[in-house]
Amino acid sequence: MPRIKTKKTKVAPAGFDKIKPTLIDFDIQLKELQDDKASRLAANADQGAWKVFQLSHERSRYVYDLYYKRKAISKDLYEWLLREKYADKMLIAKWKKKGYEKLCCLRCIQTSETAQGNTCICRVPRATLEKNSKDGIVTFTRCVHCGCSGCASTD
Amino acid sequence: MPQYWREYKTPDGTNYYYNVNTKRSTTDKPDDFEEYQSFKSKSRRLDPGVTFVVPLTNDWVLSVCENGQRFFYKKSTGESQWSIEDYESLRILSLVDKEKLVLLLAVARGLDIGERDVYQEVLEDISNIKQNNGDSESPKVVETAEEPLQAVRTLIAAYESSDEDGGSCDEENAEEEVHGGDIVSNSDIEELGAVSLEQDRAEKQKFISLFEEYGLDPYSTWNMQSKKISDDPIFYQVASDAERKELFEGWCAAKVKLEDDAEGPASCEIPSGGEDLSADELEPTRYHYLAHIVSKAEVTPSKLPKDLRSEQKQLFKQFKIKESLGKKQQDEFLSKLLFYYKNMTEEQRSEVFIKLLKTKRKVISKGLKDTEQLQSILSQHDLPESGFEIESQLLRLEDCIDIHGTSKTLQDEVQYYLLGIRQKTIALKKFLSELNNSS
Repeated sequence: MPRIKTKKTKVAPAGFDKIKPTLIDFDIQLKELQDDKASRLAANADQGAWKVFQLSHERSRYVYDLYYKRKAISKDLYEWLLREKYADKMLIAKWKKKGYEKLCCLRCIQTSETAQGNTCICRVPRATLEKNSKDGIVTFTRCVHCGCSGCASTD
Repeated sequence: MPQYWREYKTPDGTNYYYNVNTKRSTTDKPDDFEEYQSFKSKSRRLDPGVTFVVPLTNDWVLSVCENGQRFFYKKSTGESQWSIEDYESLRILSLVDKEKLVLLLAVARGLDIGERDVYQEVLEDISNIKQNNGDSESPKVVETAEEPLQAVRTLIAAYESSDEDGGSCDEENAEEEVHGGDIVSNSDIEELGAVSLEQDRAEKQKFISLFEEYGLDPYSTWNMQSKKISDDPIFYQVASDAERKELFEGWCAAKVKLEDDAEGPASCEIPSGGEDLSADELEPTRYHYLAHIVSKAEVTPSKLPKDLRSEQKQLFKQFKIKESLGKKQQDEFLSKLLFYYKNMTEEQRSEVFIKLLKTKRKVISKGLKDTEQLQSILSQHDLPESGFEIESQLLRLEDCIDIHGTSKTLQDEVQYYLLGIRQKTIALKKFLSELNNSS
């Protein structure tokens, strides 16, 4: 979520007007999620958060692409966006690393949070999952943390 | 090759078979079940129905599926293949009009061409060719045999790649598609014939023109913008969404760059105060402004790059040093330059500068261009009055020795920046006129 605008907030650098509609669109989408009712099944309790994760990932990716891929915004604006938390700068820092180009969320690489001390299953390449399964059929569909269906760089 | 039989298990564990088409179920294994089993074992996709069957020789037939896929089937042995080795059949294929074959594939995929019956035409062609073959070996056939074979193969390969997303009945392809559709398309793209490549490009071109037509926002995301154009039929000419997204990103980058270029000169003119355009086009060397700042500053023996930066904050901002150089690079350059400024007088520095030019003499004389302009500058012995004109003259001189091209290495030498702009112009002029006279 972006920071709340106060008197202390610095004025956005030039070029913000161009990307403002898209950012507002993201905001609206996030607000729409608030009305979604949680599942009554305890097993699906986490699923409400998945869409939020997905949207914040998408927005971070958007800012990242704007600066690094499309080169559409200035460095000033990029830094301002990070400071105002329009994008997750920790996540973006990971994307710059080899093998983490498509990382879905930070929790999925947090080895200390899982029982086996490994990363999340969505980090395992599809090919490896297939190879390791008995009959070549992969039962994994979505990870429990953020609902990612696979974010290895080779997928 | 439609396969109607499905195998299921009853609750007590025995198998039974169900025909999707006739809705009949049986516990006995049907005769035509085995084939299906071998086909299905690896890929879980449904096989698309065959629309056209084109008979070739030696019992081979070419079957075209409804999604444009095609395979070869041998009636007598029941084997089916993705490519055919049978030479005579290949030759027949090569003699058939390629356009008609492509059209046939397109019709199989659902293209509406009105009254014309391409399938019948192809069949007639093939029977004609067969007759000719039976009569005698015409010389024309022998001549053209090799080349068209290749063409047909590439054509077929091309179609496979362009239909990456459609239900493929290729077992290998289907398997690969699951964990990397890119691999398939990459290997196929390499095989693309010139014709199909152009076709592909035209399709992509058309797709990109959609963006303009619907006025998409180059500052937005593909997920949001694709909703605006997904109703257009051209949208589906590019099959996979990943490819569409890539095209969109490319278009955005190009569009943004265009806009920047349009705005660029206007924003550049503000700091320089609206000078003539020719001076604006000249690009200063890498550390030009940084060196300029140092030459303006008062250098005491204890001065560090850090101090310089805080002292000359205004100038740093004015020349937008931050945009072109990283902090580390700045520090590195500044500390080197400060060393010279601290230990040498201006005359000594200018000697070092000339010495550097002399060692680089070969490169500089090689990079000399625009000699007329150089002559005209060298013929003016006096320096212009305003600082700006001196600077633009220096930049022109630097342009003449091709400092951004051939003699690029000169830009990275610290010794090249030892002098202020005025002194540098004088020294460079002197050196160049000497160089001119000697050559």
